[in-house]
Amino acid sequence: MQQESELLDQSLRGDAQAFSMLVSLYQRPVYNMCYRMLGNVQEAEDAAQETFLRAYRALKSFDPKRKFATWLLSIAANYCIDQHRKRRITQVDMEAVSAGEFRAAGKGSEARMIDFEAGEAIQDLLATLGPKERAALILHYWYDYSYKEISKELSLSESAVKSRMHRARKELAEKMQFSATQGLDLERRQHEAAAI
Amino acid sequence: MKQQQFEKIIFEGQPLSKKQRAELNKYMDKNPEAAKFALSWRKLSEKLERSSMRAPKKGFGTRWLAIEQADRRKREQIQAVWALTVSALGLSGVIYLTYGASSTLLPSMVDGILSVAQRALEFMSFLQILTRALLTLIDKMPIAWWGSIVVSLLLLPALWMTVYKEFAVAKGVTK
Repeated sequence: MQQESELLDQSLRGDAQAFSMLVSLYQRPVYNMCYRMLGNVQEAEDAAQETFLRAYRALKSFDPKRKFATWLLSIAANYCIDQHRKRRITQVDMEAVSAGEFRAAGKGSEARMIDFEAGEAIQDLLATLGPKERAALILHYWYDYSYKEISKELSLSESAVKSRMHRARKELAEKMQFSATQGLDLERRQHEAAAI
Repeated sequence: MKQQQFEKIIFEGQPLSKKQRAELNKYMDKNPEAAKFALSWRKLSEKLERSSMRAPKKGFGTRWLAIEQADRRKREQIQAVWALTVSALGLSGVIYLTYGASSTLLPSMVDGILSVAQRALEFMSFLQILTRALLTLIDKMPIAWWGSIVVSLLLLPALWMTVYKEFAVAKGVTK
């Protein structure tokens, strides 16, 4: 496989075919970022395609000292934040989260927890956060970015990233706790109904 | 331990000293809600760390290439339309300035300005003549003449009213 820098040079000369090889290389992290940010397969596909298109058009402004993947993720994150603001994606509220989590009524709490863990409930929880908080968490947990790196990519101060992350984690933990309580409550009510 | 300290410890997940751990356990023993909260967070963070990267559907690169080509064509079309519009406007401007302005508009404008100025001058001359005539007449006309002119002027509205009533109102012209 050709070297990344070589592909970048060719792309800079207007070779779209060379850039499409870079697309193949980085499609997964970029798509994942878009999916985690937007929570929808089609929107994620469109956002990832747009990210690569923007990157290709702005390739001349790319600083070779930077990591290409980091640059792409930064474009993706900021594009998704903008999309989120524009489209005003419906924020999933607490009820929706718990309803989504424990769709299969009648299952035990343990089974539901397995469902929760196996499924995409994490996505529902992420959807309850603001776009910047969400981007910060995604960059931290999926891409191992430090607070400093996140602050650079999202144009926030390091202390702002720390406080946003803290707030986001707290919010998620509280929602998780609430959802679990709701699940246990539902199970208790079902047992009572069966006994009657 | 304060709630904030507790949250920082559980969120950051950094290794704790024996003393810190003892403090944390003591805090959670005292606050069962805090213990539940810590458990929820642990489960959630494990889930976050274990969540796999989502991959797009097969053929993403090929789709990108097709989108890029379509986008390029669209941009080229837009650029062509803009270039044509700007060129057409520029060309029209050049033609107009070269031929139109010198042959039609500019002379017409100059003619118009001159004509208005001429009318103004004529009106001023007429006013001057009228003023002079009146001044001459004031000196030369006897008072009886002046009296008859005033009476005639006063009779004019009366005459006009009579004619109006006789012909216009009677024939229903005003209706």
